Amino acid sequence: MSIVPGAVAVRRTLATLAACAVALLLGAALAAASANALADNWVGRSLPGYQWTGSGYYAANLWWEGVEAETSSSVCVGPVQKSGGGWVAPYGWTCGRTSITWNHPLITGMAAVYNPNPGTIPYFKALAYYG
Amino acid sequence: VHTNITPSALVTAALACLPVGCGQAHEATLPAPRLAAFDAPPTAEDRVSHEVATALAQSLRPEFSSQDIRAARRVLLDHPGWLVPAANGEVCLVHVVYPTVSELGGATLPPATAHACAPESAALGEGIVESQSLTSGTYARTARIVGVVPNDVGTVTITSRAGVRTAATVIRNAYEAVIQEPVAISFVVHRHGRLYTHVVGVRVVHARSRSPVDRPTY
Repeated sequence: MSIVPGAVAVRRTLATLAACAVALLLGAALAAASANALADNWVGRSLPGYQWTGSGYYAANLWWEGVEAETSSSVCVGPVQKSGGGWVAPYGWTCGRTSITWNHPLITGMAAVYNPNPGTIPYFKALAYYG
Repeated sequence: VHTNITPSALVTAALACLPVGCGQAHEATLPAPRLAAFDAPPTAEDRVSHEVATALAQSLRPEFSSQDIRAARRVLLDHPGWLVPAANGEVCLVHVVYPTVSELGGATLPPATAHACAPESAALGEGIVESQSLTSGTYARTARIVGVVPNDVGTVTITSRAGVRTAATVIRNAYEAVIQEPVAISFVVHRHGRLYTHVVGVRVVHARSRSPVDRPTY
């Protein structure tokens, strides 16, 4: 009987179509999520010693930040939040000579970089992700 | 004709339809780092927590493959911390950071993950050192020091601004200590039959202002 192979073929075709529809929906969901995601790539120049600066982008859903600085000494990075009239670092700051990165639960905040050295950091690159 | 589409068949077919290479964790083929912590096979005690594994899988710089995450070695005793090889060949000291404020805006903050990475050659040479401030302000008197040192280093000495020297025991290439105003880490290594003392400066947050310079507008 040839009806069994035919039924299998129909099942496979329908399964594939249904699965591709699911894949399209997943793709659309991913695209929507990506549309909401934001990479805040910024650079800083001439950050004086013992001073800190922020990316300028303060928003919800901050979850990742990192920094690479042009210095043979250390650099610090951390997420900061507004609190009252000032700022707080809800997870503190991490300082190191190497590549420092953070991954934390979604918060409303801004990526910040601090120069812990007496001398000026001439250039740094920082990156933060939201969403 | 009845068409029974099982969930497993649907998932299998859906995965087949999805584009390849979505930026998810990938398998690495790099050899294990030469740090002694990686000499023995990983055990159940080395396994990173689900939260840390998720954070590593999401990490953008560097990236960690699932094999990298499985290769993690637990290194800090008092604090959750691991040595993890990264997909780019670096070695990373990954540790959990607890919030400095119990809640903010009515929301309780869960722990975060921080990692300091360096090429393996650097980790085997000058090591990795990282300071973590324990306050939410921009002046941290007290900091947690975590670091990685080359093989065969048993102790590091952490010197404070006041000149107090504190010894920290190295376990599986790593150490940690909570120190008031740390300024330097030192350790002794054997090279070519001689002893060398490595001194690495440590910095903590000690800002002169509570506000950012060139404060941007929002």
